[in-house]
Amino acid sequence: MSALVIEGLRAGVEGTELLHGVNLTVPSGEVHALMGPNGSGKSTLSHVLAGRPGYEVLAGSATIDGVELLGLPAWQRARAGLFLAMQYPTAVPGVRLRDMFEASVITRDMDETVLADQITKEMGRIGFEPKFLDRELNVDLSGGEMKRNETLQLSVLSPRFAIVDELDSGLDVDALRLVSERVQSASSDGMGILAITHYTRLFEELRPDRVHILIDGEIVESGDASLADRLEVEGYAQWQPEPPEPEAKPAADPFADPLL
Amino acid sequence: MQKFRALGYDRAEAFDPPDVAEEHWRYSPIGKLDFSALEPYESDRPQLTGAHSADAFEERDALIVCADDEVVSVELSGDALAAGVVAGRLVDHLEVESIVASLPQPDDHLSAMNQAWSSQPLVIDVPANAVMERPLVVASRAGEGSGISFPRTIVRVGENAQVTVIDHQRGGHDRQIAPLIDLLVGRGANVRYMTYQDLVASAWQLARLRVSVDADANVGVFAVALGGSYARLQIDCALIGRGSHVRVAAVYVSGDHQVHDFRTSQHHIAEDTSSDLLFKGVVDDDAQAIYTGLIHVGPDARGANALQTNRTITLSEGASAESVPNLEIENNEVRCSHASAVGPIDRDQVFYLESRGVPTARAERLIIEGFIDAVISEFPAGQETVRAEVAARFTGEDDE
Repeated sequence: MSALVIEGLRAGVEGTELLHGVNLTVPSGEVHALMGPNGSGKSTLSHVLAGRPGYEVLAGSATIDGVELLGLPAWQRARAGLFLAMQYPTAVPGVRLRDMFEASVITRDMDETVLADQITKEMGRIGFEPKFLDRELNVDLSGGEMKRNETLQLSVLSPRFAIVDELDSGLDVDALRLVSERVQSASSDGMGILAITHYTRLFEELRPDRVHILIDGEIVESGDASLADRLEVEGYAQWQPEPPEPEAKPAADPFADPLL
Repeated sequence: MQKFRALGYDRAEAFDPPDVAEEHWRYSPIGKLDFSALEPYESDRPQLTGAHSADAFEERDALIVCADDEVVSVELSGDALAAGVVAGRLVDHLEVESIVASLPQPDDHLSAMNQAWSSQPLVIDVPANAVMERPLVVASRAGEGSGISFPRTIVRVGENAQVTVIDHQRGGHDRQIAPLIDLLVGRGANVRYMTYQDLVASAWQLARLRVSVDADANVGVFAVALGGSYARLQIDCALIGRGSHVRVAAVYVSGDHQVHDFRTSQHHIAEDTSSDLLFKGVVDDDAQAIYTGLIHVGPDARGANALQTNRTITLSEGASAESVPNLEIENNEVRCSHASAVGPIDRDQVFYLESRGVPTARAERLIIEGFIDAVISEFPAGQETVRAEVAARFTGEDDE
C-alpha cells in the first residue's frame, strides 16, 4: 500500500515561518480532511507540497512511497504521483486544456484515442461540456467551471495522491454533488485524497476517513469523521489562543457629519 | 520621375540623418551607422530567387520577386489578370505621373534618400471593385555584402476592392536595407497587408510603412519580425476618410544581440475613425525590443476610437524592452486607451502547468507560443509558416 507521508514539515514565505512542523500520513484509498480557520496554513501546506515558487522549506520531508518530493521540480512531483486541485486555479492565457493534456508527462504513454475517450467519458461524469477542452486554461471561466476543470484533470491524470483545496467553493449544490462523488469514487479506486476545506458541506458526498485540525501551522487534533461534526457545532474556538483585547476606540467626534 | 527623384535629393540634404538624440531614434543603436560613409550596394540579383516565399505561400494570386530595390520578376494568376491587377516597375505603369502625385512627400532623411536612390520602385495596383481571394506575394530578397539599398513599394487599392498583400523579406547578409512602403487604400476597400521580416542575423533594416485609409475602408496591417541585427519598422497610419478602420498587429521574437525597434503612429484625421493596435513579443539572451507608439487625434476627428497595447515577455536577465506609449488628443469626443507591460514569464502560470506534469521548459514554451499565437491567429496567410519559424527559435531539450 502507498502513502503520502509528511514529517516535521516547517515552511514559510519570505522568511516568515507558516508551518511549524506538520506530521500527516495519507494512505492510498483514504480521504483525509484538513480543516482549519483562515490563515492557519492549509493552502500553504498544499503549495509547499506541490512545489509552488515563493515557498521555502525549512525542515522536514514529504514522500510518496519513499520518494522525497520536496527537492523536486513541480512537474517531477506530479510524475511521482501528486496532484493539486487548486483553490484559485491560475489563468494561463493562450494554453488550452487540450494542450496541457498533450504536454503532460503523465499522459505521454497513453494512446491518443484512449486519452481522448477517457477525457470525453470523464467530462460526461461531471457535466463538463466538451467545448471546454478548447478553452484557454482558467481564462473567463466561472468559479464552478474552474472546479469542474480541476476535477476533470484529477480524474484523467489519475494521480496516486491528490490534494483538493477548497473544492467546494464556487460550486452550486448539484455541481458540488457531482464533483465530490467523482473524488469519492477516485478514492474508492485507490487514490489517496487530502481534502482542504473550511466547511463540512463537502463531506455530504465525500466521507473523510480522518479529519485533521490545523491551527497556526500545526496539526492540533486528528480524529474520525465525527470530529468534523463536532467542529460544525463548536467551531475552532477551543484550539485557538485567546484573541487579543480589542483596542479602545477613540471617542466619537460630536461634530462629525452624521451622513459620512 | 526625374522631378520625383530630384525632390528626394533636395529633401535628403534638408533633413538631418537619424540621430539617437532625437526622441524618434531614442534607445536605438543608430549611432553605429555612419550615414556619411554609406555606400550603394552591389547588385547580385541573378542569385536571388523567390523560391522560399513560393513554398511558404503556395496559395497566391501573384509572386513578385525583388532583389534589393530592383524588380526581378512578376507572375500574376489568371484571376489577378482578369481582375485588372497591375504589378511591376513604377516607371512602366501607364499612370505613373498620377501615382507619383498621390504619394506623401518625403518627411525625413531616410524617406528622402529612398525617393532619390531607389532604382526601381515597385507598384502593385489593384483596381476598384477587384476581389482577390488569394494573397499577392512579394518575395523581397536582399543580397550579400555591405552597402545600403532602398527598396520602394507602392500598393494602391481602388474603391471597394478586397486584397491581401504579403511582403516576405529574406537575405541581407551584412547589408543595410531601408525599404519604404506606401499603402494607399481607397474608399470602402478591405485590405490586409503583412510584412514578414526573416532577414539573416547580420542584416540592418530601417523600414517604414505609410498607410493612408479613405472613408469606410477596413485595413489590417500585420508585422512579423524575426531576423536582422538591428531591424526597425516604423508604421504610420493615417485615417483620412470618415468611418475608416485600421487594425495593426505584430509579433517579434528577439534573441542573441538583436534589436527589434518599432515606432507606430495612429493618426485620426477624419470623423468616426477607429484604430486598434496590438504588439506582442518575446525577448531572449541579450536582445532588446523597443516599442514607441503615438495615438494622435486631430481636431476634426470627432468620434474617434483608438486602442494601443504592447506586451513583451523577457526571458533572460540580459533581455530588455522599452515600451513608450504617447497620446496626443485635440478633440474631446473620443475614446482612447493604451496599455503596456514588460516582464518575465509568469511563474504561477508555469507552476500551474508543471503541477499537471508538464516539464518546465515545455510549460514555458506553451505559454510563450500561446502568448504570441493570439496575434499569429489573426494573420491573413502564412500562419503555419510563422508558427514553425517561431517554434524553431524555442526548440530546446525538455528538461526530463
